[in-house]
Amino acid sequence: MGVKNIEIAALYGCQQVVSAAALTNINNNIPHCQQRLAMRQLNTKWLVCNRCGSRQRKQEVQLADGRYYCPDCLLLGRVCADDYLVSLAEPNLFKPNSAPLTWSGKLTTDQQAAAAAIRRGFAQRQDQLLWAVTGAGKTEMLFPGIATALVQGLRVGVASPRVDVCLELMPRLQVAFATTPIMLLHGRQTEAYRYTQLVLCTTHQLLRFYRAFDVLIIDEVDAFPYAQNPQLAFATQQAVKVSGTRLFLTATPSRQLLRQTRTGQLQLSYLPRRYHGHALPQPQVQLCFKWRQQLNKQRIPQQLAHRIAIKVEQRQRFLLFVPRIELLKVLAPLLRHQFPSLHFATVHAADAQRLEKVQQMRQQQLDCLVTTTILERGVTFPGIDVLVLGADDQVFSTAALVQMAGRVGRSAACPTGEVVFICAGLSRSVQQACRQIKQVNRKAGFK
Amino acid sequence: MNCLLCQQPFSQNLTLADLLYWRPLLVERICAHCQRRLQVITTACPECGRTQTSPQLCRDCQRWLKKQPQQLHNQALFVYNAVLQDFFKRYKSLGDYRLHAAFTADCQRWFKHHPADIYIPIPTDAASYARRGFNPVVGLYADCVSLTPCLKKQPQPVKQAHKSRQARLRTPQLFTFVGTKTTLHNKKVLLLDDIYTTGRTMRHAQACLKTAVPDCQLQTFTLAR
Repeated sequence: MGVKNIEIAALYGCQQVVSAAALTNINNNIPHCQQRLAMRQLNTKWLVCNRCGSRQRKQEVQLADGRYYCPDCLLLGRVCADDYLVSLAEPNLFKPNSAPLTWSGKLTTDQQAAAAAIRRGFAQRQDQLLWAVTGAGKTEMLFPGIATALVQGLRVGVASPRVDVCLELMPRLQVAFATTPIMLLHGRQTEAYRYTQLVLCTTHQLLRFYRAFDVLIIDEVDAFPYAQNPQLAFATQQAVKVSGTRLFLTATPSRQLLRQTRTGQLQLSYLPRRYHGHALPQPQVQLCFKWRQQLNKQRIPQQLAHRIAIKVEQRQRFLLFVPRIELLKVLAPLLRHQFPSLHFATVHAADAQRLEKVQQMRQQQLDCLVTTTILERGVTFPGIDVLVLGADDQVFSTAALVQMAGRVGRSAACPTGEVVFICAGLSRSVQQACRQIKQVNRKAGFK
Repeated sequence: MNCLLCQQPFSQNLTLADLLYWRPLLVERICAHCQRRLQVITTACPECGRTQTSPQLCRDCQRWLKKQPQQLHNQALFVYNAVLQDFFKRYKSLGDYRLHAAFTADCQRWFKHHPADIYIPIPTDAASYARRGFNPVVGLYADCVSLTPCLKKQPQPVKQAHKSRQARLRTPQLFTFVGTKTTLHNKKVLLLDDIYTTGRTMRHAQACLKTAVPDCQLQTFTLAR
């Protein structure tokens, strides 16, 4: 932790952990340095980490030499209670750029309205929520807003909870802002940090920043791990300047976010229509009692088998979501046996060949992917249907179901498709998901 | 309670014996799923504790014994596989001291069947201690047995873990004896370390102890091999 020669630019809006001994050295070399104790005392038993905002019970996080540390943000380098977080106030020292937008695409009228609202929000420094249905073209809508911010010399951050989404966004941003250097930050990034005006990172990497961004855009706020993690919500608060503004993007806002829009903390812009102007496919609910027991008896549940048989006959490609990884192992041999002509692969989060299999599906070498919730968002396969086995399982939240249904009909060439929830009973999330999609479609003017 | 390796909540399955016998309960800190991913060493090389199909001297140890006839009798609990690599990375490199209790129950069970009079941990040098804030070996075993620190490690410019195998084997003696010799006379002594990789550290520590107190019975134990 003995940071000796910190480059000054690397400290602009970025916080680094420094031990008390090294601090005097830094104070001599870099004046105007902001410093805060790394952890503060909440009461006699609890400490709060100033970097990640988590509360720690003292007796659980004590080292053998009596110091305390924060185990929750350990991966960024350990902070001890007597360390300091040093940073420099963000000075916005960027090369002026009058026309950063090099994107030549066109927005639809709906998208233009939403983009204008975003730009207005950035100008007024109003925190916003953009609720756009799955497949509405969220990323493109951001471009005018980001461009205006860049022209004004503001520092812009784009964060997403998932590395996959970041990796997919990076080339799109590079094309859209070809003259602006972009720093991509994620846990496996080997490139050293550079001070850039536009930063694309995972939400975990926001913990490195302290009052850095004038404009911070957080994509997929309802996705794991952001949604369940108060640490990341804290990070977005810390990473944005006191005078800065945040924009949350989602297709399935949580109740908490919607409550904030009602109390006026967030301004809601709303885009209920997909970019190709077609309605979201309404899910059908197919009751299938005892599907789990049938699988345990090494039988594909009849309703599922029937649906798959139709798809195989029509040569229709589809995704089959299952609630648990274990079910993949049970289901794969059964499918192979019963549908020998069906080319399929199974995918889960810990699968080493996950990216290759997804790529094969994109290239139409596979008819079907049997998958867990990891493919629920961020992926686009043209012209597919979706079957969800066990949609009533606890792991499928309302947001997850809406996202899975949102995989269907994303391309303008095949804007429709079939979504079937196969469940043993109507759970609350299944009902809410169906209701939410119906509502959104009604708002968009469809019957 | 959350499993210290995978952070998932789990509850320990108590056996009837746990409930009926009047003895302290060994608290498991690792869930059954992670427990299965650990590879317990059953048949091993009698010299270094490496897992093998037959209990014969492995090639490394044959070479060691040619060079230095002093026998070591190291015993290890687990194979140093990906799970343990990940564990030691978090525990030693990142410095997550909460993990020190992860293997307490396993070690306690082992020490019960292999009792010794005196347990000596391999020390860390002052600089690593100041940086980490704990000695990883003491952290692993302090809750199982009472430790008697007798050795001192000289400051090292490069850590053992960062060297190549050949460089590790060339490391000169790095321990000095700082304990009281009378306490070790004619005692059964167990030297404790976390990982046995090349055997260099262990053999230096053994040589250091043997020159200071020639008449002690010495064996060694590591968590991973």
